[in-house]
Amino acid sequence: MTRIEPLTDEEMGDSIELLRPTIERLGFLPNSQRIMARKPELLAGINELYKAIMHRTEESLSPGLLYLVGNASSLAAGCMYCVAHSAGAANHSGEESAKIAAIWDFESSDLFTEAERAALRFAQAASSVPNMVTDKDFDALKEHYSEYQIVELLSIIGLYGFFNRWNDTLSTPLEKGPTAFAEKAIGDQGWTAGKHVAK
Amino acid sequence: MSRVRMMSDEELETYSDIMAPTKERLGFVPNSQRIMAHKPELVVAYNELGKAVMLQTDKSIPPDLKYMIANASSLAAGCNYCQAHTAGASNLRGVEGDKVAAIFMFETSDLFTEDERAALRFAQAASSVPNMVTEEDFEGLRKHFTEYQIVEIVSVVSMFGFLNRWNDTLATPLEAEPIEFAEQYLADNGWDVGKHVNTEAAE
Repeated sequence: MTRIEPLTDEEMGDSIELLRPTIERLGFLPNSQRIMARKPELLAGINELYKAIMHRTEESLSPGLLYLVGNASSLAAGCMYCVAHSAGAANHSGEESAKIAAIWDFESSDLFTEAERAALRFAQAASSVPNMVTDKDFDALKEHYSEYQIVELLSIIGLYGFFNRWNDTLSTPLEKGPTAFAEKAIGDQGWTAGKHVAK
Repeated sequence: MSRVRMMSDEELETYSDIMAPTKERLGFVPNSQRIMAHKPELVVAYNELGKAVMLQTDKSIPPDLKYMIANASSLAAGCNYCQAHTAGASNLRGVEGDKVAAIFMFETSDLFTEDERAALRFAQAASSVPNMVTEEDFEGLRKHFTEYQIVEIVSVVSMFGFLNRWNDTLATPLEAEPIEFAEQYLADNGWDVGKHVNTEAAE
């Protein structure tokens, strides 16, 4: 059940204009943002941060990898709303659904490279409470990534740190698109919408 | 020791405008931001989000409560860097040292109002993994806060969802000022600097 009602397009007023790029990309406006819209400055702030984190330079990691990292992070934190969204976003960015489903077994699945495994292992440890990251995890990361890229990995893990708390606390209702994708792609792995089922 | 290199004042010169408000408020540039600055867009946008979360409107919860929520949240997540920072920030916003120290027992300490207790209880549940927030917690909140204020409370908790992961993962070295405050007020309750000890020369 929704704990704070997401705003409708009409209720959002001018704030909706800011979200045109998101709506175009996803085909809908996530309910998480429809709740944030209750404090418009917050909605603007999170969108700026999201843009900055996904901003690509020639040194940047691929968006597909960043979303897989966001997915591993959300899995570790247990936010099923964010698991569905990041899975969908990874798929949009070109990651095959078989690979997204295999994230549950990234250590042994041959769909992942060693570089990807180091990033996903790092994401899980960094998203656990208490934090489980060790100097060894950093040594492994440094074999595959530059300092700049490690900051990028951390920034997406941090962003999902925001989203995991936001959506799991609010029981944000999951929209149709990501629900359908998640049921098909990761339902067999045990994903369910749980408390995020929309009315 | 920081797991990713911190940028020096010289390297940060381009961002002095962005960091000026933080620097003025705290008296120093936090090491967390010296690491974010590796990706300039990140440090800029992070500061924008921070401003939005802390922005006070006439409907807002008081700023001192925002920092106490951030403190309770960081305690639940176990990030000692963020605990020291938010404890110091609560104090700067007018919370007495004794009350900052009493956050470890907000349920029983008579320094806290029922409003504050509902918010701090909620912050702890929302910062646990797995998430421990229940319908009852929301009902508790609604007795004391408006919907707008609840959104603010969740936004502070979430902002520290970013920061707890950032600083605990990086073992960000804690700066001298928050160490001093935390040693004076939190150490008796078990706080220590742990892996956030600064072994690098200050620049």
